[in-house]
Amino acid sequence: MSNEAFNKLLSFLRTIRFGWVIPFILLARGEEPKVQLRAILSGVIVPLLAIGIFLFGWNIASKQIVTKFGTVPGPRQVTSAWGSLMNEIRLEKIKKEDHFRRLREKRLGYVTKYEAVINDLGPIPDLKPSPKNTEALETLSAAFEEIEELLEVSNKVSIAPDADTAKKTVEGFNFESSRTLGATVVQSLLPLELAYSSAEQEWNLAPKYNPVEGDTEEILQSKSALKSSRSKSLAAKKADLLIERQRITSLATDQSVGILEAVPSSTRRTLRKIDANASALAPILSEKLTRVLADEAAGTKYKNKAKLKIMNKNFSEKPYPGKDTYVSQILTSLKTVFAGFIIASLIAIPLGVVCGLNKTINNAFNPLIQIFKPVSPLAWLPIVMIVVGALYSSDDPMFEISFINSAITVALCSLWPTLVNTALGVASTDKDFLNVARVLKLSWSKKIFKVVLPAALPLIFTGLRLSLGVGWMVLIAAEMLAQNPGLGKFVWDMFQNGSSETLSMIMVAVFTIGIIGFVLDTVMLSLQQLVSFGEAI
Amino acid sequence: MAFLELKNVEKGFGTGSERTEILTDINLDIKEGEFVAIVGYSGSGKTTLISLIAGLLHPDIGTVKLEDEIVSEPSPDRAIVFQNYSLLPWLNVFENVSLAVDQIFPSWTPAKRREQVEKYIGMVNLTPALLKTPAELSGGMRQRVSVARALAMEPKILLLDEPLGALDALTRAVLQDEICHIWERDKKTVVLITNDVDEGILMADRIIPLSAGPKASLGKSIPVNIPRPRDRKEINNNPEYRRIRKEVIDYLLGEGGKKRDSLERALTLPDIEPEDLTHQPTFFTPRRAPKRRGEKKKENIEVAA
Ligand SMILES: Nc1ncnc2c1ncn2[C@@H]1O[C@H](COP(=O)(O)OP(=O)(O)O)[C@@H](O)[C@H]1O
Ligand SMILES: [Mg+2]
Repeated sequence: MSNEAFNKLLSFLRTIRFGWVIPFILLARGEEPKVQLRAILSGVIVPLLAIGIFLFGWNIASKQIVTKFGTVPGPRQVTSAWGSLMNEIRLEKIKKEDHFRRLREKRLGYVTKYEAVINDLGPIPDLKPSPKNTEALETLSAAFEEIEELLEVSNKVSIAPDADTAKKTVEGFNFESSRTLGATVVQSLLPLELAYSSAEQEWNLAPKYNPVEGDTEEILQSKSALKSSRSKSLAAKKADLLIERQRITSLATDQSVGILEAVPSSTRRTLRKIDANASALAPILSEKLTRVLADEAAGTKYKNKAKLKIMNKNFSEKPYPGKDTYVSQILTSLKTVFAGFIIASLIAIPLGVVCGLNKTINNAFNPLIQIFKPVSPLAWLPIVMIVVGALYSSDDPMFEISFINSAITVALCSLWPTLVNTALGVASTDKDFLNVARVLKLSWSKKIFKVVLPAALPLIFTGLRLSLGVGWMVLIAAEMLAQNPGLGKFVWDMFQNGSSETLSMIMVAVFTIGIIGFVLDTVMLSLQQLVSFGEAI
Repeated sequence: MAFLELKNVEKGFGTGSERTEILTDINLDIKEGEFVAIVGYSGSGKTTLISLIAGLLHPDIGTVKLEDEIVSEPSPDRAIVFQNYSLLPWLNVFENVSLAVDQIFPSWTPAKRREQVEKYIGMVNLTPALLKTPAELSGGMRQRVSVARALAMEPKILLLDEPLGALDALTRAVLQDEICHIWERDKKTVVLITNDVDEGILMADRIIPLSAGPKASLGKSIPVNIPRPRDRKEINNNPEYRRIRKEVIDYLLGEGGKKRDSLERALTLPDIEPEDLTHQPTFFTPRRAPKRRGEKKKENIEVAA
């Protein structure tokens, strides 16, 4: 390793707050062992010793204080609380896997069932080709193809290894086309209908064999025999047609329901779309049935049957109903704080640039900034809750309302350091840089993006770092009150359901919050260091 | 007809009782292709004067004209090399120069612009440092970049504001020769501001002293009739050189230096990156001292004996 690279490594270690390993590295390289040992003593041993004393003191003190939940937990109880949290996470994971495995099996059952239905359907009815029914045949076969395709999708979904892949498969399929399925099926009934009506016509046109005056007994007898045989054959024909029609119609209904059942629980939105398609199909089918079936009662029966089936299978899949684990609560907290932080940055940086560029605007905003800056999140939250409650209401919100409340509260509290520092950074852009921009006649936007913003970047990042720190601190309080399922709610829930583990759990949360805050700050510090270009020239 | 003409120019700062007249009665004619040096005390208003020519400042009275047109705003026609380099620290050498080239020659092809940038960086012997950032360069190298940036703009007139003032004597000598060498190629009109009489005489066709402020004004213009190239070792023995030197210094110490006792300077506030007070020093993160972001500006006020 070259000397330069080595020095870079050392300064990088210092940046990410790992400066304390440097003496070890230097010691390993044999550089001034005495100096390094002294550095290790003051930089590593002493802090470790302090931590040890803290733990010891905590251990002793904890036993002295008795609360309604028992004695205050010592380090050992907190460690075991941590262990039980981790066990819970493992258990949840197993439960979740089991849930999805059973779901997959269920779906596989559906698919086998409906594949059997398709096979039962056999080949497309062999109708005599004529200009009229070739068209009907084509639409019928298209409808069958579509059903096959849908089944294939659901098949793929059922054997998908995880929910994500299943979701992608469903989303890749054009469900728009399934909307046309209903119409297609109905159209495929057309040749049958034609056959039916021609049979009816035949019935009407056939000699009636009605008795006329002067008919002999013999003639009357033969007439009635002829009449009954004629009507018998026609009735048989009519019945055949009816049965065939009913069979196909019910198959179509079954299949549309089957499609519904086979589609996975991946996205609620996609499902709702299919649902709408199926419900669109139902009225068309039933209307057609009512109209064409001579038997009014049978028509109603089919109508109701189709409706019922679809209604019963109204898929409203819920996401996996497992309970929040500690990890998911941490992730929720991180998501919330970053959402708030991003909202804050999107407001604060542009506003800060404007304030920094223009003294009048800065003077206008300054009193507001100074007044709002020290306001506690506990004061903001009720306002945010009421306003958001009034503005953001939807049956199926993309974000939980508690998430939005917490994120906006975090944003309102963490806005200010970025705003103030950005304004300061922009306002203190070196006059010589601005003169360079003037001589080059840079346009306004070029001046901002090529000169002013880069010059202000180190201070902007200082502001961002402070903002993230404030945001993380504020988040816990916001989550407690807004009931956002993050670390804040964890602490609150633990406090509420007071058990012997309550205090240890809360202490686990305290350490978690502290360590995450420290990591976030270190990340921001490294970014900040990255954008400062040493001393300005 | 003069190429650059300043007529009865006056400039002061502030209003009312805080008003200070910096420059009065400035008259200056410069021919095309001429190399003129203006020598004066620190704080006498040299930067103010060159800012007026550049269009960064407007005269309170009088006019500044370039090719008979009144100078009303800055323009790439009047490229200026700032006293403290003014390189953008987040851009490397190439980018600093190409920022100017891209802006001034938007109609050129990217390849041609690139060629232009590389040509001028080569001219100041910085090709090996093409991708270095200003922080990685020495003072002399930074000033070279600044000169390359100005030259690459292909200006009508080049304004140099104490370009070598912050450099050590050796680097200074090298850069003086380099600038003269470059100038001899295309004889661009140059106004050189300096506080070093020897530098003015060595480099310029004409040297004009600026009296001490406030109310500084230009003294008698003295032509330097020493053949080029001028050798810095031999020139010391040149009687013409010694005559000019004596004349300029006599003016600056005598007639031009008289007003110095009433010298008044507004101090520019130091530009400091604030210490992060919310940050508690720990063993992981020692306290970081406040950092000076701008360069320290040393202005010595010499009081006359
Ligand atoms: N923007 C300004 N406002 C007020 N005073 C200024 C300003 N710029 C320069 N001065 C004052 O004008 C005088 C001349 O400054 P300057 O032209 O920078 O001197 P020089 O470049 O010769 O050292 C100094 O006393 C300085 O304080
Ligand atoms: Mg100056």
